[in-house]
Amino acid sequence: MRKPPVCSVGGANEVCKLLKSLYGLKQASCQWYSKFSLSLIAFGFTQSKADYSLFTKVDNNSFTALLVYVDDIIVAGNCSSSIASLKSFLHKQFKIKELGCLRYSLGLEVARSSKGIHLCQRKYALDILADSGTLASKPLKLPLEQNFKLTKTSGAPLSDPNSYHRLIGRLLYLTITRPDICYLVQILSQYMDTPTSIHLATAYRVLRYIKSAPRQGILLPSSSQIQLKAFCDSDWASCPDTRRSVTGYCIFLGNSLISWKSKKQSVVSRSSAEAEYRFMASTCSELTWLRYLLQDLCLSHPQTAQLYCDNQAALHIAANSVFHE
Amino acid sequence: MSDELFALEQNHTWIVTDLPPGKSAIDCKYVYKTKFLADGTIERLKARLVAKGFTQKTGIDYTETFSPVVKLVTVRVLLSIAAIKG
Repeated sequence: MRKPPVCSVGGANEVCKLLKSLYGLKQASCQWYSKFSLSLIAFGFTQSKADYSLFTKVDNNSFTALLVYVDDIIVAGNCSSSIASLKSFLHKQFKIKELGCLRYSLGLEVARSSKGIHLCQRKYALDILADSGTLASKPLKLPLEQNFKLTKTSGAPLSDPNSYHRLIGRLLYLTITRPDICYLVQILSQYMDTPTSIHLATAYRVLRYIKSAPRQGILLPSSSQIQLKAFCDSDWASCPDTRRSVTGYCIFLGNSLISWKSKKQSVVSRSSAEAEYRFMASTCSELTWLRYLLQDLCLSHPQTAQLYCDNQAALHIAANSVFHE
Repeated sequence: MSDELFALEQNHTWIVTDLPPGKSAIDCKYVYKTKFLADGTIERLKARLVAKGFTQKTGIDYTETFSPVVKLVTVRVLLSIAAIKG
């Protein structure tokens, strides 16, 4: 690195050889992560194979879990003394700022009560509304009319697609706590390459829908058992451009909704049974991953995870392999 | 500004050497920021030395830049278990 402007030692031809990472270097985030994970492992944590940013430590009866989001860290555990020792260790190794009980992290607002934990992104939602200038618009109860279909070519192309890209990117982040707009964002994000005026108008309708309840989020209730349940459904050939099927699943852990997705399938299905069967398979892989994750969190889930589907033909195929073509 | 330089030298961030022939050095600069207190008075003047990372080239200056982030599903799983366990 060239010498900093004020550094006066040495001749003109000399440079600084970096031994450590510096803010602004391309590899700074990678180096931070490797340093942080190595020191955690040295402290006795094990890195989860299901999610590399989850670290857990089991010690007699105490269990501590640690989530890393680049430089934001969430700690959870059942023993306050082991959490305190972890904190003092981190204080010794790094300069950290402790923000106390989890209230606001990664744009998520966390509220706790006796009923459970409530997650919402009220501030983030209001920020989107303010930046797009729709803070004073009229709220909508429903974001889309029934059977409303968007196509690639409807409307005039936008002169500035970047604002559309930015808006959809922010809406994507909002789906963290809002499964209700998941489908809409899925539709809108398909037209990122050539957004048209109609796509933008639909996006603004979604914003007006968000305006009706910016505080809406998900509740993770405290009274529930540990049992994975998945529900999946699919339509058939609903995308007017490609005739592929759009499907969705949601997975519950007891009574709390933890994972959901809305996705257009990658291949064309010739029947609704085929579409549903295909999507049951991908829901299964998500369930399998969740079981690994629960295992890493030291939770036994001996019973089988339940998968619900409403297509009789697909259920018959799944139950009896004779029907496999 | 001298505080920042002092801190970086304290941490042994770099050593001063000659530039090897045929190599080019990464530029750096100071980024200045004025921190205000809530009532508008100046709290302190902050200087941070940053490297101009955009002058680096893949494969020559660095190979990996990836830092994993947590899946949001994991966050929800952890919080739901925290809710259940109380």
